[in-house]
Amino acid sequence: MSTLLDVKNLSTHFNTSAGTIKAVNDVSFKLREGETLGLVGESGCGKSVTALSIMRLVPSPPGRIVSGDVIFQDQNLLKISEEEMQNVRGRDIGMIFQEPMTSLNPVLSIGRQLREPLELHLGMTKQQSLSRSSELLELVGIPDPATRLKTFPHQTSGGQRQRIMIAMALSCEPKLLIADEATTALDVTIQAQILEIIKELTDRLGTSVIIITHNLGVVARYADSVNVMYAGKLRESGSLDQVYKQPKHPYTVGLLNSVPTLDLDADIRLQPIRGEIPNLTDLPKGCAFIDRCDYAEQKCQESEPELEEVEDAHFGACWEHQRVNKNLLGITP
Amino acid sequence: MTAYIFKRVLAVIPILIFVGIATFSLVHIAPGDAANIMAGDYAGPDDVKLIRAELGLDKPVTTQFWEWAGRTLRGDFGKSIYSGRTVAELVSQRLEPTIALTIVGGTVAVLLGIPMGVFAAWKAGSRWDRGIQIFAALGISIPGFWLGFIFILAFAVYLRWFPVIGYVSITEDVFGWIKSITLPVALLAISGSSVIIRMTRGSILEVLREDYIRTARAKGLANKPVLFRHALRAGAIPIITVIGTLAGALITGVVVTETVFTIPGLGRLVAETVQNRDFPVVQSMLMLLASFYVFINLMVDLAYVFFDPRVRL
Ligand SMILES: Nc1ncnc2c1ncn2[C@@H]1O[C@H](COP(=O)(O)OP(=O)(O)OP(=O)(O)O)[C@@H](O)[C@H]1O
Ligand SMILES: [Mg+2]
Repeated sequence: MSTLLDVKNLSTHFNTSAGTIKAVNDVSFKLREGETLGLVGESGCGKSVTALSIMRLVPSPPGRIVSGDVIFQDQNLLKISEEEMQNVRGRDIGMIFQEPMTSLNPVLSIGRQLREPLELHLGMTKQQSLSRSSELLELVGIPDPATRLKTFPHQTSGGQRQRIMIAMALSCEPKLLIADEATTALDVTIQAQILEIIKELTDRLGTSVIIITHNLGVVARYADSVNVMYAGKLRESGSLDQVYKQPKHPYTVGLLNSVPTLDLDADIRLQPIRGEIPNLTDLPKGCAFIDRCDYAEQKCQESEPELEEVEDAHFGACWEHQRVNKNLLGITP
Repeated sequence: MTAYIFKRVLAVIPILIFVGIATFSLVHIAPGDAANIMAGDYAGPDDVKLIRAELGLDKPVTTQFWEWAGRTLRGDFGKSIYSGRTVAELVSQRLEPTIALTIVGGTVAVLLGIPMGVFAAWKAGSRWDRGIQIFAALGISIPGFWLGFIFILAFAVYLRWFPVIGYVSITEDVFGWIKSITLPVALLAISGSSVIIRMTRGSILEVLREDYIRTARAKGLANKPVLFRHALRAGAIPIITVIGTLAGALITGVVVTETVFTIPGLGRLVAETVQNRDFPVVQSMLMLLASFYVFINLMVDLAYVFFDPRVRL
């Protein structure tokens, strides 16, 4: 399968009164056609900003994409004009956001909002877009779609709104879907339903997906490969098997150890990662994870490890990656 | 929806009754006696008495009120105690300039204020934004009569582009009409649009931070539909409110404007008749203006329903 998305050395900063926040710092990754990539990391590590940078929707000011390339289907999204980018958004790349309650416009009918991309990108007439919207709602499992189109978002539950968001994001059959914590705000049973719908529809369309989440269980179930992000940088990336079975970064180990699993031995407790994420305006000279790391050595303080290929297509950014062991952290107090 | 509208329209009735009582009381409590003023400085007490009887002012106040209320309800608004002409006649004579000024002035204010406010919000922090904000601040703080005189001096007296005073009816000479209302309309539009700019900018700025604006952009919408379909509609309520308030304020604005530009409209009619204690005219005029005010408020309420689907619940 050929490469659909190639993000190279992407950096996005926010200029605030407290200083420059390096929300995304020299991030590179690739996504193949039809691949599902999980992007994980703690809150504030730059996942959303990475996604928004790909879409060129970083709020500016204060945000600014300072460098990098986003090669998507042989064009560099960071180099094309805003008008050209508008043709990419919604048509080639769809996006679903975290907050279903606030992501739909409260004063426009659901039909109006669903029809917009269809009329804009596919040149449909009102009649065509209406019947297509109806089909789309049916596809995401909304009963009585024709009536639903005439209603407004406040008359709809959170789970239903997220289904509508999915219908909207996939309405033009994009090549790439970015789901930024699309289910975090929903309760667990609905989360699973929504994820199943996303999986079913994107499988059918052959859409590549970037799933952004805190939930490593979700990644394990739906993703082919994983990017682990910490303090604005990718710290580990590889296939699901590689990252989950042989993590090469202590942070990944920490994340895995803080996930409740069913087959957990009774005497191995959940282990939250100690400490806090560093201040993104004032990162240390060496490794950004050093204060929270059990493997830290002198070298980690002096220079920052770059992402390197530790085994075939498995990348890690840790000087001590050979010592990193999945179980180690779990048993240290 | 229809029930809501019906309820709002019904609610107008008690308001108008209250306005009627207030109007009548105000005119009768106000110092200065119409009979005295009419009789002039050299009249004796008997003359004044005669005039009072003629005007019905010797009857008890409550009787006067019921008589007035009854006549008003039948559509008889009384006569001017000076010219003897009916109020309906006076008002219809003076109506055209006022309507022309308020409608054209209000429309220009809205057509100028909303796009400028949206643009300022979109370009928040830029030089354009700052320029528009300075314009709005000046437009709000500069007194209308002063700016009016400056306009007259600059454009009418010095440059001679426009007439200094007066009003040309649209039925007589369209070009002359345009010339005669340009300066007063500019005056009304500057202060009006300034208020609208401020409210629009603030409202849109807030809306632009909302998640659904990001959703709209993620769909690939261009700036224009994002701003005018998504943001403006979502931020419409405070803007409509301020336009409603403005429509009310236009009434006072028109009095000043008509006085400055010597335009024979309703505003001047009010000013003249209040000075003369021409109470039948004053009463009817106040009633008319208050009804206009109530009508505007009703329109604003109904606009809420139209623009915000959540109000219906
Ligand atoms: N509009 C903004 N202004 C200033 N700083 C911002 C803005 N948006 C994001 N940031 C900063 O960028 C950093 C990364 O934010 P981002 O939203 O990408 O985190 P995230 O990984 O998506 O977190 P979460 O899991 O909570 O969604 C944060 O530290 C935040 O402070
Ligand atoms: Mg996020």
